[in-house]
Amino acid sequence: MATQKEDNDRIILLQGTLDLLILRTLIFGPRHGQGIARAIQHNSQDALLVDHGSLYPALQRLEEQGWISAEWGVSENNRKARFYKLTRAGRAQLARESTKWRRLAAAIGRVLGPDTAGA
Amino acid sequence: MIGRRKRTDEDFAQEIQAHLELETDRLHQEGLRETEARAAARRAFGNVTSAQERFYESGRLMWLEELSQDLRYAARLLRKSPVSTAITVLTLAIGIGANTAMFSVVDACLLRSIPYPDSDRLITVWTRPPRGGHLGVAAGNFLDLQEHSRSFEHMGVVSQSDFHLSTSEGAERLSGFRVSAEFLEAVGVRPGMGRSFALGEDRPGAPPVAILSHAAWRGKFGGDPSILGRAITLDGRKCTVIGIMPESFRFALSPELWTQLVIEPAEAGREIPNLLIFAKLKRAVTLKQARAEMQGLFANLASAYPKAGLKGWSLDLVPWQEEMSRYHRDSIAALFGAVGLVLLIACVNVANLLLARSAVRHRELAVRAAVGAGRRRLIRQLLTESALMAALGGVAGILLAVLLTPVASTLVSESFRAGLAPVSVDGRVLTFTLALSLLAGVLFGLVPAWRASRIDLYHVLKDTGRSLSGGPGGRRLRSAMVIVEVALALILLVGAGLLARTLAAYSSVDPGFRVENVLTMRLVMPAARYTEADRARAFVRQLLVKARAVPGVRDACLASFMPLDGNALSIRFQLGGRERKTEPLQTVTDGYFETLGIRLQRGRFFNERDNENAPRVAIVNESFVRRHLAGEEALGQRLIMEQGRLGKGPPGPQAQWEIVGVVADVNVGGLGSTPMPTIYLPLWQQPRIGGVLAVRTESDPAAGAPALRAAVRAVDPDVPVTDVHTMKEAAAMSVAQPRTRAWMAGTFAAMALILAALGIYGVISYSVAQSTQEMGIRMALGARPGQVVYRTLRGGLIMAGLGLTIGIAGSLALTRVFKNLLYAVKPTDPTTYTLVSALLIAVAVLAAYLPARRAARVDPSVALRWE
Repeated sequence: MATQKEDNDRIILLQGTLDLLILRTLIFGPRHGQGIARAIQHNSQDALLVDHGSLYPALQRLEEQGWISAEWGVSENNRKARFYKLTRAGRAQLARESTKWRRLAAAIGRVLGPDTAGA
Repeated sequence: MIGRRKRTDEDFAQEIQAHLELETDRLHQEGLRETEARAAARRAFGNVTSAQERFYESGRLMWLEELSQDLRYAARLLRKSPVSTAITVLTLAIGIGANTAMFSVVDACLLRSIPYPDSDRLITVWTRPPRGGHLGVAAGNFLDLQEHSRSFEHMGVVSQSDFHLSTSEGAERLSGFRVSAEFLEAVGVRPGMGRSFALGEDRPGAPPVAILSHAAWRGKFGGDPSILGRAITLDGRKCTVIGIMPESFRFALSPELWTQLVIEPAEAGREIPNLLIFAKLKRAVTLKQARAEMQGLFANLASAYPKAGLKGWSLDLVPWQEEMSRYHRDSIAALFGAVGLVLLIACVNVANLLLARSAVRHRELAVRAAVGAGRRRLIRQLLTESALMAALGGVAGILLAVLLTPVASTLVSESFRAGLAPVSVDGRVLTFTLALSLLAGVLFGLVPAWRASRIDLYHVLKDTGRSLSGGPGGRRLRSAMVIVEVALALILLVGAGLLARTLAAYSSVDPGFRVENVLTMRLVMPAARYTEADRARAFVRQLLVKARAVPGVRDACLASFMPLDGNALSIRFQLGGRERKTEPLQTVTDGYFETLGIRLQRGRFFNERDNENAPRVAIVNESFVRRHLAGEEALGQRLIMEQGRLGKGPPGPQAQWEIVGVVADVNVGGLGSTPMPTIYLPLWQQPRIGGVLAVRTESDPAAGAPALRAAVRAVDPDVPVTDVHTMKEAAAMSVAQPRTRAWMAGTFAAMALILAALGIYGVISYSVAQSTQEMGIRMALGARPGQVVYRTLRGGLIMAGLGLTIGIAGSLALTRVFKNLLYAVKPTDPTTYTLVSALLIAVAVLAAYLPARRAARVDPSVALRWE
């Protein structure tokens, strides 16, 4: 069922997941958008993100929620970039979400695993 | 949050640019050529414009985007199952449409104030005789009350009257009001053209003036503004038109004409309470204070004028608003309640449908929840779906309401509707519909949404396919909803049954007179011309001769009033040496009882020898004998009354009438009304001008109308004929409202029954589909089809039985609502309850049998392979 869904739906559905991945990436220090995209892509074996562009609405949202903050800085190769870092509230949110996420991930694993195998 | 600076678009564009450059650098480092790296970075980024757009919308319009997504998704779902969507929308349309139509009536009659300025301060004054009922105030008493009361800004009186308008083309009758000078002031209306009555214009000697309604001005005078200041001939007198009412002005009984009511203080009587006082309360005075003051004044009058016979009478002040809605409040409220129940049932049905559907959708919802859709988000998605359905139902409902509103408005009789805000589907009503649709959407969407949002991911996802509402909890919930539906349907059926039996009782009641083959028409003899009794008698005699000569006419008579008119004139009399209370008086020609088929109990009817030169005779009815002559011989008793007079002559001397006959009671006020003690006198001996001509015909009575009109014209072309109708039509009119009520309640109950049947059918079908496997195993193990049918039917019957029990309890609790609308039927009528219960059980059995039969036909081998 989930595979028949249109792109629009998927973006919304993935929202929770993406938020969590961004927050997790920022644990290790401030990063700019491209760095975050790369890190997520790396961590999820290039599977989860369709394109880098979809990252920015999520960053925007997280910033508005006060979980991350941003300022312009200079990258390692001297390019101007906007750096995001985790706020205190963001850390708390990450802790909360992580537990929930692990539970859900386990559930998804259980469904999608045997079901697809069986069909 | 609020104070935070919003990022500029430019800032965001820079960030994206930085991203693309960083990514290009990176890819370049990894070995791609500069141009390739740039292209790859763009590809990896996806659609730049769309990212920018999303940035632009984020925060501000996120909810809107989600809503439009939800709506599109919901629309897709609805399109995917067109049949169930159509059923849902239709169900809702019926519920919402019927409610909207009824609300338009409720709004006009009960909620909206009548369309006059400060109408909440407009009061009417009624007197209540000790025997019950309510009457107006006598002219003399009005003058005293007007003079002494201090509670009102203005006080006027009104008396309904017919006017004889002579024009160059012939005579016409206008219905209108005679009012004292201050009346229009009290109501708060001024003519749209010309002027109102001036103070003192109701005093003796003031020149006669008239104000026309806008409709009469248009219809009878061609809308000619030069009519102002010109004289018209009313009742043989020249009368100057001084004003024309505004087009928007409406009043009860739709008067066409207003003239001044002249009260001669010296002559103003205190006996005939035929005037209705309208008064505008002063702002600082409460209704209670005014009532106390007026009651005090009235009590003084009663003791100051013992001859007025006001002992035991009381006086009451009723706001006009309340007076106008009083007669219809009960039936409107009851039917509004009934459509409310229909909508509730519709909502329960739709909720059940959605529950069944969410059972199919559980996996989709579970996966959505698993990948991050929050509980709120899921509820919102599901509520959007219900709201969309409700909105579709609402739109269809409005279309239905536009058709139903004219029908619903007949709940209020026409003469009252004229004085109320118009009944129509307007902005207020549409607002109501909108609110109702949203409420309905939330109502039927909430339970399925709430259940769906409580998905236990572990269990739903682990178990590969069991349903959300197929579980024991869900089935219980759906059954409970069906039980509620059945209970509500029963309440409606009981109400409709009682109203139908009321209608039947009205129709089968013996009115005491012949309804078939009787034609009646009212004749308005110009008072200015028929000033002498001999002249009036001559007119009637000639007319009757001509009428009896019309082919097909068996009998003809003229009487002051006809049964079902609701009119009666009362007279005071002495009997057995004692002064008695007034009783209705009917003056009739010979042939009256024969024409109307009124039964003779004792003595004889009038005949043509009971003329003005013969000894005076009277006939009374059974009620009269019961009240005044109980245990005595009625025949030969003498009634002493004033002799009638025509025009402005002095009251006639007292005279004696000997009772020569006793006739059966007649429902004068309408079918099923309580007969009143009545005195009948020969028209020849108690002259009166005008009256109703009635003929009995051999066949279709309506066919005789043209010939009879011609007969009247032949005798006196200046006598207008109005209100031509057959007695059958009058009888139908008198039960028009009970009939409308019964039909509407019946329609609502039928809707409720169908919806409840659909509910039972749905739940049983669903549980049959759920337990196909179980059925298969049972049949494989040797269960007979009959046993399977029985097992399935039992479920339906238990639901119906429980619903029935609750419904009966509910109906009994609601008897108070029905009581005022019933006639000759008790609100706890066992026959109605039994019939209605039987009907409901039968429908429930049928609704459960269809799926049960399907269950019994299951092929065990197929059933076992199920899923």
